[in-house]
Amino acid sequence: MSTPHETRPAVTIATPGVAGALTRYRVIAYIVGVMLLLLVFVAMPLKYFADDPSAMNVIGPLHGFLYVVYLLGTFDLGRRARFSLQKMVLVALAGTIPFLSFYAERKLTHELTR
Amino acid sequence: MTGIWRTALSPRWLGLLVVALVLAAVMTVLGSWQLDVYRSKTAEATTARAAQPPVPLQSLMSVDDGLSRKVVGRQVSISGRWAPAADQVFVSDRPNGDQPGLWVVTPLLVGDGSSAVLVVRGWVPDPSAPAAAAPVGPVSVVGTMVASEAEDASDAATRGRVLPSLRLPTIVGMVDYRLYDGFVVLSSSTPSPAAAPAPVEPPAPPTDHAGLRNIAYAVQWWIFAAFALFMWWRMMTDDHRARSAQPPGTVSA
Repeated sequence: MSTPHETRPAVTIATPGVAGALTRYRVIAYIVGVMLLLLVFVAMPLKYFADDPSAMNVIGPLHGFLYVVYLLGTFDLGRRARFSLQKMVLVALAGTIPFLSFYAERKLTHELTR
Repeated sequence: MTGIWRTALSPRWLGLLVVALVLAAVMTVLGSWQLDVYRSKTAEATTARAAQPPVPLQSLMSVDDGLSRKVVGRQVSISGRWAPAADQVFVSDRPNGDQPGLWVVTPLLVGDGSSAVLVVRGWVPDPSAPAAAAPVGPVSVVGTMVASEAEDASDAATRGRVLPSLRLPTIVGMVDYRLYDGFVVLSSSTPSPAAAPAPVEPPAPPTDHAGLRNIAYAVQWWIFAAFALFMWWRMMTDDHRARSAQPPGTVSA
């Protein structure tokens, strides 16, 4: 599984603690992904084009706090699954770009469960 | 025991600490900025702005600027000349106590006359009242800056010069000069007309709980700042533990 250049031990779903961390990450990744879509495609147009900030006032801060949970989930999974720092940062940033968190979640799940 | 400091002070972790500190500093500043935005939205801030002495409108904004939150509620002075009587409009359904009536809004041309400020001159019982007659000639006014109303308060349609709400986009299309973003609610004018409309209180700026959103954003930025430092610490101690566990000689960089 590991390439000849890889010095880190291979981590899979069987590694203790990884399965639980992956499940937690997947749940929060899905929630944050949906909230971000609501924020960008519903609340922002309502605020900036229709002058109605009420959806923004709710979804804006809610998304922010859920993103904090996403960061915690990413960091927890990253430590257990021995992500490189670069990978950790990329997965964290994926939560800020619409649709990308769904891709990151699928990719990580595939990597760890193959 | 080699001490965790040896790991912490290695070039890699020292460099990452600098990155984490810079990130945390930037995020702390962003949180403070959101707190400032919140403060400018509070009732105390509005009261404080209203208490400041009048300043020329042109020193606060130009006709190209959007109305800043920090200008709303300020007292401003403007010198110019009243626009033609045909450009005066009314806002319907504005009772004065229990008397039904309208607000009378007259554009005040400033500079070379290519731009104007909309002045809420006051309340009149009906558009044909003597006080509603549009004033003419040069004038200096002092008043309170207010924002355009967000949406039509009633379903009433615009009938001639009578508008359903104090809304800038409705008026922009009715005149052939540029308009400042906002309205001035008149407190005094020099010279003052013989029959003046009754003075009206400037409407309070809307709050719509938007301030709470800024508080939440401020807290979030500070959590991110703390998280950047926490992440550095945890990853550094993980690395330290991994190094300590490996026998000497096999440590990979």
